Amino acid sequence: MRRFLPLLFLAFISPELTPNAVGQMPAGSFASEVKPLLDGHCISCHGPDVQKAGLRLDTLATDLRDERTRAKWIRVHDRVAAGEMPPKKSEAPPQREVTAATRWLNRELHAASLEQQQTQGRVVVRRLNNTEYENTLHDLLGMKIDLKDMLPEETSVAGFDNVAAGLELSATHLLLYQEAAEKAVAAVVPVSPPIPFKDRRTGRELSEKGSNFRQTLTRSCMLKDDALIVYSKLPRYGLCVTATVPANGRYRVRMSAAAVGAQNRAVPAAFMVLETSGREDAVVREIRDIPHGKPSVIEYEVDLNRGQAFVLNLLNRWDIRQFKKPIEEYDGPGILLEWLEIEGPIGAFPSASYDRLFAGVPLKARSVARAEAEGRTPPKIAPTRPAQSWLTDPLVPVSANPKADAERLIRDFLPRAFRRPVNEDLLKLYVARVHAKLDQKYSFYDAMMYGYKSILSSPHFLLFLESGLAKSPPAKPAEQRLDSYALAARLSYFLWSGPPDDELLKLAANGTLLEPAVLRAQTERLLNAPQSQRFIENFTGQWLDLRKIDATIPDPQLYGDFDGTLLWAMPRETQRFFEEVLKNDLSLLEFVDSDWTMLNERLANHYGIAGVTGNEFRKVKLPPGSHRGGVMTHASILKVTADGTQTSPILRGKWVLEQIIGKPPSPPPADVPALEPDIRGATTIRQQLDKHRSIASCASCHVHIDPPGFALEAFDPIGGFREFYRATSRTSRGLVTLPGYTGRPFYRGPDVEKGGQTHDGRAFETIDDYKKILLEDKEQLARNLTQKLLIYATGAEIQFADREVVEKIVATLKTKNYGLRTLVHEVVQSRPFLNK
Amino acid sequence: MPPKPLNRRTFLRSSGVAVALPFLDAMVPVASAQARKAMEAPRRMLLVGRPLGMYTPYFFPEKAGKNYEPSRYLKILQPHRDQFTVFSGMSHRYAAGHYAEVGLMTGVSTENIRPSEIRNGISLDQEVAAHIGRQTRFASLVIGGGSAAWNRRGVRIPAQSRATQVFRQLFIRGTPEEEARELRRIQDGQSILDDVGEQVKTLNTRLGADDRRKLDLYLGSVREAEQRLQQDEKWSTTAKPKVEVATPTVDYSGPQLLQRSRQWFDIVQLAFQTDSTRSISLWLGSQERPEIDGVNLAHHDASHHGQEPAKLEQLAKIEEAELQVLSEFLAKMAKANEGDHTLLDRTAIFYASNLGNSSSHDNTNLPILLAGGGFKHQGHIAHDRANNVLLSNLFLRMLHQMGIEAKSFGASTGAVSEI
Repeated sequence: MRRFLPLLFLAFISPELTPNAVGQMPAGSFASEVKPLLDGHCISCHGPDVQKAGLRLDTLATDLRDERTRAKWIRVHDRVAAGEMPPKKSEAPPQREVTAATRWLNRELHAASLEQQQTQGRVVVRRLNNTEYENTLHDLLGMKIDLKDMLPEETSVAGFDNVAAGLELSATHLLLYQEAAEKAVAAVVPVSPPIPFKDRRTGRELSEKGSNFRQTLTRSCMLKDDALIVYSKLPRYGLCVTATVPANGRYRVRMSAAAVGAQNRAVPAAFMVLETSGREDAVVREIRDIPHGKPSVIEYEVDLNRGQAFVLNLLNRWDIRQFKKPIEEYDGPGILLEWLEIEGPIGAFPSASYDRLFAGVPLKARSVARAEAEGRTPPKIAPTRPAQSWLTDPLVPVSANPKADAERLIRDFLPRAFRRPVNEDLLKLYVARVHAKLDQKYSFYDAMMYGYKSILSSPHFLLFLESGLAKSPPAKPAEQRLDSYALAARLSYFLWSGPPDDELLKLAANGTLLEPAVLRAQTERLLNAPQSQRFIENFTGQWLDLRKIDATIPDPQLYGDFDGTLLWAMPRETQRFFEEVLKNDLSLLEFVDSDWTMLNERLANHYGIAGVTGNEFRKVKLPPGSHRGGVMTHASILKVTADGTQTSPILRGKWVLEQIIGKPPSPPPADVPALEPDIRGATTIRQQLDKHRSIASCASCHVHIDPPGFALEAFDPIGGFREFYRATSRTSRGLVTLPGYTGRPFYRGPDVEKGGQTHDGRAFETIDDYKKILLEDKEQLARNLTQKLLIYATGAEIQFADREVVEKIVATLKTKNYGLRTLVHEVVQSRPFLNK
Repeated sequence: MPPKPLNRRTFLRSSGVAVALPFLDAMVPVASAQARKAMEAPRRMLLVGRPLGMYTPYFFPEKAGKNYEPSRYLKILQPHRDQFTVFSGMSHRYAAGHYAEVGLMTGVSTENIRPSEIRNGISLDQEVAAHIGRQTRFASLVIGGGSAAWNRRGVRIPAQSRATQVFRQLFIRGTPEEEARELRRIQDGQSILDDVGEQVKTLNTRLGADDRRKLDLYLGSVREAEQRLQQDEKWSTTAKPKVEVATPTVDYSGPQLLQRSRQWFDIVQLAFQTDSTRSISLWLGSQERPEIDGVNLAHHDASHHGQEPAKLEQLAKIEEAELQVLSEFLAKMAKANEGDHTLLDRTAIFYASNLGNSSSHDNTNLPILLAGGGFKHQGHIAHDRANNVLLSNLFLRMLHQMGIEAKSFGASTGAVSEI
């Protein structure tokens, strides 16, 4: 239900009314500036007799320091400033009354909002969200551990899941954090000494292991001597799967494989991980091209947990089942696999992650440790002891000087966990807690586990504490400025979704991070580091809804051309596109229109663009007439804005208004039934919408919502360009045959109607025209992205006092070609970012 | 009525010993097996929420009263005809579309639930848990998913969505060593929370008012977590009940709507039968195409039927299948005996959606069914479809049936009296 959670009211800011412009105005009072407009033009609908939209203005409090009151007046200000109120059909108020009222409100709202920010801070204290929590432990321990799935799902506010208002902290959270911490700490301790593990299976052996091969052999795969040739996606229980690994760690996978088929080209194969105990499908870790020709050895390293296995599979939907002749005669694309091997775990023992928590502490079997502690003769552990026995008697860290080691390890870990130096009292408290457990006869490992769990449950770890630590009491305006450690954390969680590294902490320690030039250099460094992929993924995942990429499954009866490799490629185009713009400081307007995009072969085929071979993404110049360019024409966006089977101009229009233009429409009235597209092939969505818009209460919003939706109607739910709708039932226009389409054929439905006009009467024929119209208001596009980035960077919604900051950034961007990297720097150097 | 808890003052006076403990187990409603047997058979409540409404023309009967003609959907439930009441013309009077999910079980007034804003109150299951939760191993179970359960401070209580895990918690006993470790984990957890609470309090003296308000909420959660661990500790010395069913090994995902619902209902029945908890909220969310013969649309998609006959038929197939699963559950509850009563008699089962018409995202005229619970069931109680009766009034009646003498609940204006 995420998508129904709060939308932020961001719209309708008129730049000419920024506080800079009104700063010199005489002050005036509410009575002299605002009341005349209210009395003359508002009270009749929002007064004692009638309260339209539940709003009554004559009794509305005017103390703008109250947040709820302020929110109401902001709405009044915005509607009046945008010329939406009083409504067009009523008598127009004199311009001077409108100007006086909006100026007074603007100035006073700004002042009140700024005062609130300066006394309370702009961002209310918030906790790490699930993603940040998992990344933080990953960076602290140097090991990827799945923790996010243990924690309750996050709520988004203002479009992002790191905004303070949405980050609840329930009792359940607190208890689960203890469990997650225990899982993370346990994960760094190896169960056994390295036990060499190696398993190789020939193609034939692979087919003998999986029960489902009985059905698929000679239908979608075949044996050729000892090799297995796979032509179509293999089902569960009949996979090219390695043995299940006995211990957590990194493994080396090797295979001897080649692409086959008359097309003489590489074939993309999915490298996947399977949880052998569950019923879930294997998860794609990577897609790699298997070269055509003679089999070659391909190597791949993968992190696996005990009980997991590596899987090689095709994701393409090449439907060999429609091939009626013997499979030996089939010459379509496939993969020949001679053998598949897994070996490991590889790397140092114990791992570097162990040293992060237990450096210098030897590991012993638990039975040995216990015997030693009780003064008994320890049992002998045979060097050839099988992996299974280690599970019941695992290795544990055992210290000869438990108290000293505990203090050393806690002192080392605590400042890293709290992202700042920790005062001696707190340090001693944690050491004392662990020592007390040792006194209570806890083993060293158990006592340390207790200590680490305590640290990872602390508000100093879980919360962003951005004020009140260095000084008390705070709350003098100048003191809302973040100290250098809080700034380091804000920067790293913005650009890495994770904790500050050593260099940032060093610059925080000597205070130089507070210097704009140093901060700028660090912003560059963070953007250039691999961890910035987290920023790209999390920001685009939410701004552009890429997280919803597999929320719906396209109807296979209509979209037989959809498959796993396309699904995999879709969000990557958009992420790589964002990365390209960010890396080269290209204009953010490229998100609306560009003459290039990022493609691999699968996606290029989908778009009908020739000359792109291989699975790797690269920058591709778009040929004329491709109708592509800008994110709105990415297959990813076209998929997340459709419901899998059908497109809806309303959903897409709403999406463009919210995400690209930044003027979200009001929610629909409760009493109007929703429209239903008709896939039988009789009426089009356009014809139904035209009817809808003839209802006056619908029209006022739909004149804004529908046009971008109509402009995108030429793209189907999987992002293909279309001239006509696909239909499941017979139509007079017959069956359609698409080149290379192997699914069940569909019928040709009605043609897609082209064109439309914007709310202010500008006509467009195609999406290309519509993008040009959007680009006429470059500042609004920049304003929208600035707001979104500022929300994401600081974890708080846009407040009234932030508007002046946003406008200043937009003005700067205008002089700098709207560069995205410039925007990131501007955000980092802005007042909201530098202050609590 | 459960026995009155021992008053602390009385206890201290009569024992004549200076006890520093804040309370002893005996002072809360007693939970020993013996004491429980002596008590009147307990009352229980299950709240089932569904997100996508129900096609109410196929659900509501035309006639009101006990002698209604079963509608298409109610035909499925006819074996239990005397054991349930269907309410039409009832809702929270919200207009918040899917978002109204957050208020379905809390019933706060409409001003507090807006499409973009929420100031929620406690949900019915948690109100029940607050009164009688300490008598069982689990005060309540919040399962399935969704955002239906809220605590008294308006903080959402996340649901457990993995049936295998819930089953484990309820019924699987560990080895003595595992149990000892578990007990220690519970005790460690409490002392960790003590430190967390102290740190929050210290921070609180150094922060601004807005931050303090937020940290006060956190502190409330710390206390609540401590209480849960205390309850866990108390129960850790009592063996978990044994049940004669195979341990579930699979957590069904979206498309397995029916298997998933069945699995949850089975767990609910076992949890009640073993008196592991007396308050459960179960959310049966569904968006994807359910694996039901003849259904090729996603559930959410079908719910936007726009009156198109083919789509409506798809939706009806899904909803009929869901009600079939409900009917099986009611049958099992009716077969299970507890003393002189059936489990169904002792368990109020509330089954509803936050949408009255999903095709238009309408939150009025909700599909509501109340089964079991020892109510005087009336077949079909029809209220004004244009001017709905507040669902909170039914919630208040349900609280009373649980032996909880509340004066109001949510936005209630009184308790319904028909049942």
